[in-house]
Amino acid sequence: MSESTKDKIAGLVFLAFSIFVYAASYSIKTTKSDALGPQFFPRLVAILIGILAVIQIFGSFGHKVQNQNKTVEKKSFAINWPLILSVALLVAYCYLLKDVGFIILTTIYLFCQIYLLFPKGSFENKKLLIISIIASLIVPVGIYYLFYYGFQIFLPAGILG
Amino acid sequence: MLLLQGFQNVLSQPVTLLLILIGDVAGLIFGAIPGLSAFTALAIMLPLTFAMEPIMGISFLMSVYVGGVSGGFISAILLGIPGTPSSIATCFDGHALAKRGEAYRAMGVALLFSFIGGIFSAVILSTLAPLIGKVALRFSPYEYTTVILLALTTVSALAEGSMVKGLLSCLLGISLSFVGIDRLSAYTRYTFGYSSLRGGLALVPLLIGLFAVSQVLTNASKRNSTTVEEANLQIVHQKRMKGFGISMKEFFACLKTSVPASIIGLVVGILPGIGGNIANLMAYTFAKKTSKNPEEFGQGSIHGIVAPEAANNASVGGALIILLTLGIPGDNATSMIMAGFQIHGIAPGPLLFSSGNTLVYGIFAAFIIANIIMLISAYFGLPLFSKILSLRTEVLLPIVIAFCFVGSFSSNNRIFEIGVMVAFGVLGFIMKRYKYPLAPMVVGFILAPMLEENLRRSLMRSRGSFAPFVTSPIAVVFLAATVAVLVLTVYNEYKKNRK
Amino acid sequence: MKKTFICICALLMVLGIVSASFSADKFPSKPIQIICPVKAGGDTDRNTRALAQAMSKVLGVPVVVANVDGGATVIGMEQVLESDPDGYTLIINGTDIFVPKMMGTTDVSLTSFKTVGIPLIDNTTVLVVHKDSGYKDLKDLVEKSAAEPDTIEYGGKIGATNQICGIAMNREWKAGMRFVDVGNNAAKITALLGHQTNVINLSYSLALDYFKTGEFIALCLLGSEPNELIPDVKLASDYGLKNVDFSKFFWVGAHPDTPDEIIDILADAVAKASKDEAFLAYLKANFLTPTTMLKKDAETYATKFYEETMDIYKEEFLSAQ
Repeated sequence: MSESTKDKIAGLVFLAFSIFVYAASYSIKTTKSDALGPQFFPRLVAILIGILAVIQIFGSFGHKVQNQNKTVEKKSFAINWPLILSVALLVAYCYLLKDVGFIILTTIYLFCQIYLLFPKGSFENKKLLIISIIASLIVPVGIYYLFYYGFQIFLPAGILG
Repeated sequence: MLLLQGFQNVLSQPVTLLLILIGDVAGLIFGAIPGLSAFTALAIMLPLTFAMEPIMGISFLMSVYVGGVSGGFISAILLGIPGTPSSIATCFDGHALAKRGEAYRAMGVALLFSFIGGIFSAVILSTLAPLIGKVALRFSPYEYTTVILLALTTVSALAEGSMVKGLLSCLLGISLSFVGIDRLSAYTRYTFGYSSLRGGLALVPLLIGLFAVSQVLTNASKRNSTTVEEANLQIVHQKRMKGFGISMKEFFACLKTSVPASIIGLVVGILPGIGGNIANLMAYTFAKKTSKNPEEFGQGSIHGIVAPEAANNASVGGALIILLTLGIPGDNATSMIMAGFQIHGIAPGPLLFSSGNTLVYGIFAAFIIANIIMLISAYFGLPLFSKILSLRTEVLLPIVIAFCFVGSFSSNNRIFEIGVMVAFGVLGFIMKRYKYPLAPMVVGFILAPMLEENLRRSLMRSRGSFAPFVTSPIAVVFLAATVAVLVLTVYNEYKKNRK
Repeated sequence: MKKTFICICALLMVLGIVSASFSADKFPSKPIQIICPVKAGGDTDRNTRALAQAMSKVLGVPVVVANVDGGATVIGMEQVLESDPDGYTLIINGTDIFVPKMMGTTDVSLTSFKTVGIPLIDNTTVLVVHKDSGYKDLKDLVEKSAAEPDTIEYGGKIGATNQICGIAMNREWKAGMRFVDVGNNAAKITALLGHQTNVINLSYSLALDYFKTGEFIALCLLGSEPNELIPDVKLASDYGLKNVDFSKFFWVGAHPDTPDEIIDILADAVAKASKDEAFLAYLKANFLTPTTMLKKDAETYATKFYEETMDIYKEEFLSAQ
């Protein structure tokens, strides 16, 4: 994707967003305690976003297409699994935290995330693997008990509670 | 003279010095961890002071506060993740330096000028506090509206590259701030029937999501295009340095940058609610716009570290002025300080200056000493902090995220905040990909609610008339400054496009 | 890879079994959490912490305060409703508990919970003016505001009990004050100091210094009974006006499905805590009134308080938004 195509897409997304913000402002309960009311600001902002989005969409036509980057970015067409898995990991973390608990879930998260960050084959280096395992095991337990006893902040205990 | 008595008061028991040291170090650590801030540190440490003598307890709290505000630079420089909103601007040049292997130097500069900003505000605090307190009282919603407008325009000029993108980012931040209860009607907006959204989106998860989580996603997205050998090559070897990493000549050049930055920090810190969060970005913008080499900013200019760090520490003094003279806490952190003072039988307010003189000066002295000890202890910590980077990023970053989970959660004790953090992580990743700057979004998110609140409040008072904005001399000055900034920014943009 | 995972899982299971065997069947066997539905640092937070300390002494386990802010206390309340009904998560609130339901934005209210008790009443809400305003006393203010309606500003926080108080004063005293949004307590003090508003209501202890210097004048106590700790401040009835009661009760509740035996233990702890010496000293220092209302009694009191002092102004409150 060239920069100008990217800008066009982003511009369209912002335009849709501005319409959404404006449309949703109709469901705000109007009040009369002040002259502007609760709808004024959201609508003003929606209109401004709309205008800027249009400027960006048309502006991107004017720009000369910069071809230098084109070849480099081509190969990112394949599905980026590490990225998708990282997002999935984070989303799963939020959903499971209450039931599974901080220590177990964070341990799993840490190990998986570290695995997803190291380039393929890094764990053939046993030293890296050991560091990763140690970090995944120690950090969650350390944080949990530090907060529990040190600061009296209770992180979700889940299964271990 | 009275200040000397204050010093005597603090130093009479050597234990106090030890407490200040502990407080500083604890504060630094909290400030350095993304998601935890000076406020969290104070909330947690407050109960520890119950058993202490008043002067000890207060000295301890002041040192936690000073340390907490300063600590933000550590993660900002090492990881490019602002530990607190008040160190957003420090990332720009600080992290650029760290990537070049000059993390030590960047942190040395940040530390030194945090100290200078802090001492500057301490001097103003101990000399002019009552006077400034009186001026601050003249600020009504009309004046506030104009100040916030000025801050918003100044910082919007921060946008790197495309101005349209910067403004869109800022407006996106503003629209996100609409979620939750409308402060001037108590009805909800943009919650779409989700009860969890009723409380609005919180700053802490938004900030660390945008900066920390998005970083993990960016790195993960590059995994397949990197080989083991390449990854090994990417490890930056940090240069070993001595002192603060800068020469005398550089120091004096930086000192020049730090003066206006400290003033900006102090003034903005005085205004309740705006504080260090915005002061650092305003100071950065100011330094960049007035610099002879603005193109160096963002590439690893030490001046780009000096300005925000001097400003955010100076804002502490500003916030303390209002707290001590008027008994009004400007933000979360100062309201914890106030609670601490009250526990020790000190009621911040006008009587503090007329009745318990020695104690007030004890507070000033504690503030100054806390700054000095912060400088010394963090100085010896510098090599240690740089060591953090010897851990592979692939391991370090997930650990930081683990802390971010805790930071988000403990900011409001609910899991929902972690969800918000993740959502903003994804958003931040997409925005970076499409080259939208993130800082304007945070600024819009922080300032817009205040702007709306004060503007609508003004109009409620004036019954819909805009006249008070032009009849108040203070408001007129700020309005004029806003217009000037606006004209200048648009002119510069125009000139740039012509080229 | 796989081996590591199995190892980790096994280790965690062992951890789980060990910690599970710790929980005994006697309540309370682990720390109790009190959800404070506002930010740390204010007077509600302070009261919660004082109570938590006293309860911890009685129960022998840590009682910890967790602030869950947002949605005019609704977020915190909902978190307790979503928690396990085992008595380990409590909620505190005050008169503000009724406002969101009054505005129709939620169904959650005091009756959504089982009431544990009310250990204190904050009968320190005073009506305050600046000394430069020239109002001699409450009568003077009421008469002047009635003579020129809407010229005297009463500053408060919109959509909160403050605003209801303004409506009540105007109706009961036939006054003509104009409500203007100023913000939270700190903002109210600032506004009054800077002569940006004329009248505010405030907890007495928040502006103690200003009362001492004479800069602020407390015109009357907004309660139905005098407060012995602040004898100088008269009730509205002392001026021949009807009392407008905006004292605040401090209520402790639990999940509605909490077993009654556990509620009994908790209520007993609140009762003992309310007589704890350190707690009483804290109350005295802040001019607060100790009380020991438990379970149904407390619930009846709170509901009646709502009906008598807030519900009657509901229509006007909603139409003023």
